[in-house]
Amino acid sequence: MKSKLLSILESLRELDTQLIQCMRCGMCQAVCPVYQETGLETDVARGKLSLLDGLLREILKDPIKVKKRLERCLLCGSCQANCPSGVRAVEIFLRARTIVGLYLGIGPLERILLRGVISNPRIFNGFFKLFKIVSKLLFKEAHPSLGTSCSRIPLPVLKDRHIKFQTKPRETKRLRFNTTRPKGHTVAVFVGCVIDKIFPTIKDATLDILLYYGYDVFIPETQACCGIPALSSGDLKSFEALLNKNLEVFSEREFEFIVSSCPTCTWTIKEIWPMFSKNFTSFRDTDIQKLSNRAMDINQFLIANLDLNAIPYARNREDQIVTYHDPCHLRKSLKIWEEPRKLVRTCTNNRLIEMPFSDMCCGMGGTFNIKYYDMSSSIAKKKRDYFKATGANLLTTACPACMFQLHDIFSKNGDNIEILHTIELLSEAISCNGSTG
Amino acid sequence: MRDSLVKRFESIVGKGNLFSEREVLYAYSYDAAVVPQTIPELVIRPMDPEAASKVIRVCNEEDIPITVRGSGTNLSGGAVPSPGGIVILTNALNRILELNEADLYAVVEPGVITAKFASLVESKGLFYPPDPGSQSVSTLGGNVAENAGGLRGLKYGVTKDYVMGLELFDAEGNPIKTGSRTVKCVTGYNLSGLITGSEGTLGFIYKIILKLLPYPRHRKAMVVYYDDVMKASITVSEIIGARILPCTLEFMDNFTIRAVEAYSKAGLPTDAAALLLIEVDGHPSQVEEDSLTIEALCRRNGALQIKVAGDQRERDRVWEARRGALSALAKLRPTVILEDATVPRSRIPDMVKEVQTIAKRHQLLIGTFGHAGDGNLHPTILTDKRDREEWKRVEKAIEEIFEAALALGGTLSGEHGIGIAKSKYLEKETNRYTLLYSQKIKRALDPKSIFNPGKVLYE
Repeated sequence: MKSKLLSILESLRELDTQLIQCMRCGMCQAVCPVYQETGLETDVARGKLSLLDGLLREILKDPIKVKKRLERCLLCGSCQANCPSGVRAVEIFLRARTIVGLYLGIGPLERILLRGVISNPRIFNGFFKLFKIVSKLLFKEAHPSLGTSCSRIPLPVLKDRHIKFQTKPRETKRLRFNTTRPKGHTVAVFVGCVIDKIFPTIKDATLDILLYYGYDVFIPETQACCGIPALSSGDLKSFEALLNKNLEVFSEREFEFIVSSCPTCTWTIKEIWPMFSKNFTSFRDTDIQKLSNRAMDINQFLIANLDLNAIPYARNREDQIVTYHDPCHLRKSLKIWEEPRKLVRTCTNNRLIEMPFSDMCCGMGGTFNIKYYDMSSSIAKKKRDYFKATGANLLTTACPACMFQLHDIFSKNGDNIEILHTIELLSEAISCNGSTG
Repeated sequence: MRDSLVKRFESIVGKGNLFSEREVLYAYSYDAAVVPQTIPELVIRPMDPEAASKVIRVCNEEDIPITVRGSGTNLSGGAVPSPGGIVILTNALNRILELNEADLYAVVEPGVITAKFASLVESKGLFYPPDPGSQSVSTLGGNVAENAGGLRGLKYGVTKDYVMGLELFDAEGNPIKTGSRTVKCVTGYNLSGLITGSEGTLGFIYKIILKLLPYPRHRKAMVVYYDDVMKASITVSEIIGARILPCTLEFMDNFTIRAVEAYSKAGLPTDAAALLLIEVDGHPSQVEEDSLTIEALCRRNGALQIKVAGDQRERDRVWEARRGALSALAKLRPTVILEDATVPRSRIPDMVKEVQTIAKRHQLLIGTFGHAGDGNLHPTILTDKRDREEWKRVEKAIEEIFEAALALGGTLSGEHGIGIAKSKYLEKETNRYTLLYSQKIKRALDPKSIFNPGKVLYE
C-alpha cells in the first residue's frame, strides 16, 4: 500500500471531482430506505454529499463525527440508481469511509474482527466452528421451519434477533451429473462468506447445477472474503490483504468465468476491486481486471448458457404462491433483474407474482444491520408487508445476505413462509424430475 | 443561539426534534437552486401544528427568521435559510386528513409527498393534476407555497387552480382560515390566492384543502420530430386553434435531443431541430378523434417523424426522451442551472432563437426543453461553478434570458419562484409601485419580518 498521507491526499482529490456532480435536486429522498425511516437530510445521499463537499476538511477535524454520519447508510445504491445527474454515490461513500479509516485507523473491535478473523480464512473457519458450539448453549429454536434461533437471554449486540444459523442439508438428493456438454469449460466459483458460513446449501446447489450442466468447476478451498465488509469499515489494509489472497488462489487455474451466488461478492469483484486497485501497489491492475471482466452472477450466467425450455419446474412446489425480492446489489448495482425472474418463472411453471416495490432494500446492509438494528428491522418490516400483500408463501431471492435478514423478520413474526435462493429452487426443480442419483 | 432559547424550543418540540449539531445544520443550508448556502441556527421538526404555532410565537418575540422546509427541492433558493434564522421542517406534518369522494376534495397537511398523494387519489378513480418535476419527493405544502406547475399546465392549470382553502399561522402563531370545502366561496378576501405562491413569506401553512377531478378514462401520447422549431410552434398553435387542449404538450430543442440520444442510445433523430411530445386525455372516443386530428396537423406542418403510442409500453417509450431530458443534460457538466423563463406560447420560436444566440454569444452550453403548451421553457445552462471566468458569463446569460423573455411579453418565472435567485429582477417585470405594494402587505402581515425574509422581495 502507498504511504498513508499520499493515499489520503489522492483520495480527497478524487472525491472532490466526483462531489461536484451532485446538483442537490433531492431526488434521492424518494428511494433512500434510511431517509424514509428518519426524514433527516443528513441521512440521504444529497445531505451526505453536501457534508462531504462542504466539510471535506472536517474529515480531518472531526473524523469520528463524519464516520458516524457515513455509517448511517446501507450502501444499497438506490440513490445512485435513481440519480438524474449520475453521481457515483456508492463509490464516493466507500472512498470517504476509507479516508476516515486511514486517518483514524479503524476501531479496535473491528480491527480484531477484520484483520484477525475475516482476513485469515483458516481462523475464520475455526472461529465459526467455535461459535457454533457456544451457540448451542446460548440459543433456543425460534421458528422450526425457517430454522432460526434466538438468544435465551437478552444480549447487547444480538438483541431479539432471530438468527439463521447454518442451513441443514436439504432432503432432496444431490443431482446426478449430466455430461452432455463437452468437457473443457471451466467455471470458477466465488462462494462468499454468508453462503459458506450460513447457507452452505446454496453453495451445494450452485456446484450441483454447474456440474449437472457439464462444467468443470474450480473452487479454491482457501478463497478469502471479497473484502466489502473491510472496505465499508474503511479498512483498506484488510481489503488489500483479502484482494491479494484471492488473486493468488484464483490464479492457480485457468477458467472462463468466475460466478457467484452472492450479488454483493459479484458486484465487489466486478466493480469495487478495479475501483480501488489504483490504491495499491502490491499487484497489477491487469490482474484484477482479468478477474473482474470474468465475474458473473450465477443467474446471469445460467440464463446466458442454458436452454430454459429444457428446465422442468419444481413439481413439489406446485401448490405454493411464489414471489421474488430484488437484492439491491443485483438489481441496482449490477442491473440484473430479468434473469433471476426467468429462472423463477421456469422453475415454478410461470407462477411468479410480483410484490409491490420488489426492488426496495430489505434493510440488511451488512454492518448497518449490526450498528442500526432497529432501523434495519423497521425497513425489513416494510418488505414483509409488501410480501404479505401478494399472499405468497414462497419468497425467492438471489442474495444470501438478504435471506439472512428476511429469515429474521419473518421468523420473528411467526410467518408461514419458505425463503429460497433462486439457485436452490432450480436445483430442486431438476432433482425432483428424476435426475437424481 | 442562546442556550435559554434553545431550551425553550426544546420544551415545545422535544429533544429528538431539535437539531443543533453543526453537521446537521449544514445539511439544511441549501435547496436545489444554485445560490449561496446559509447555515441555519437551528432545525426544528414540530410533530403537530400546535407545536409549530408555539415555535412561531417564540420566533416572533425574539426576532428570529423562519424558513419553512418541505423536501428542499426549490429551484430559486426559497428553502435556503435566512441569515440568523431557523428552519422548521414540515415532514412530520404529513397526514392526509380527509379524502372526500362525494365532494371531490382532500384535506392534507403540508408535509404530504405530492406523488404519494396523487397515487392515492388515483386509486380512488380521482385526479390531482399538478405534477412538478420533483413530485416524487416534493411536498404539497411546498407546492402551494411556490405555486408549483408541471407538465399539465395547458389543460389543467397549476397548483393554485386546486387550492380551495388553507389554514395557516400568522406571525404571532394565530390560526388563520381561508376558503372552504365548497366549490364556491366568496367569504372575505381571497387569502388563499395571496398565500399560494407567497414562498413562505406570509405565514406557515398547516392545512390545505385541495380540489380533485375525475380521473381521465383514456389517454394517448405521440412524439413528433421537426427540422424547424417554427414548424413545431405552428403545430402547437394549430392544435389549440382546432379547439383541442392536450394535457401534455412538451418541447425539446436539438441540443437536448442530442444529449438524450448520446446518453440513452434510443435511436432519436439527432438532426431534428425540435421534438414535441403530445398527449391527449379524456373520453376514449374523443381522445381517438383528437389524436387523429393532431396527427394530421403535425403531418401538414412538415413533421419529419411521428410515433403514436398504441399501448402503455409504447406510451412509456414515447415519454422516455422527455423524462430523460434533464438527466441527460445534467450529466454533461458538473453544474446545472435550470431556468424557467416563460413567454406567450406563440413566441416560443423567438425565445428558442434568443436562447441559442445567448448561448453562442457567451460560449455556453444551453439546452432548452419545456412546456410548449403554456410557453414555459427550461433553458438549462450546463457549466462548472468552480470556473470563475465561465461563471461570470453564466450570470450575464441568465440576465439576458430574463430580458429576452420580458421583451417577448413573458415572465421571469413560470413555476420555480423568485426566491433569492430572481428577487433583484422583479422590478423589471413589474414596476416600483408593485414592489412597494407587495412590501406594504408583507409589513402589515409580518411586521418583524420573521417569515422567510429576503425571499421574493428584495430588501
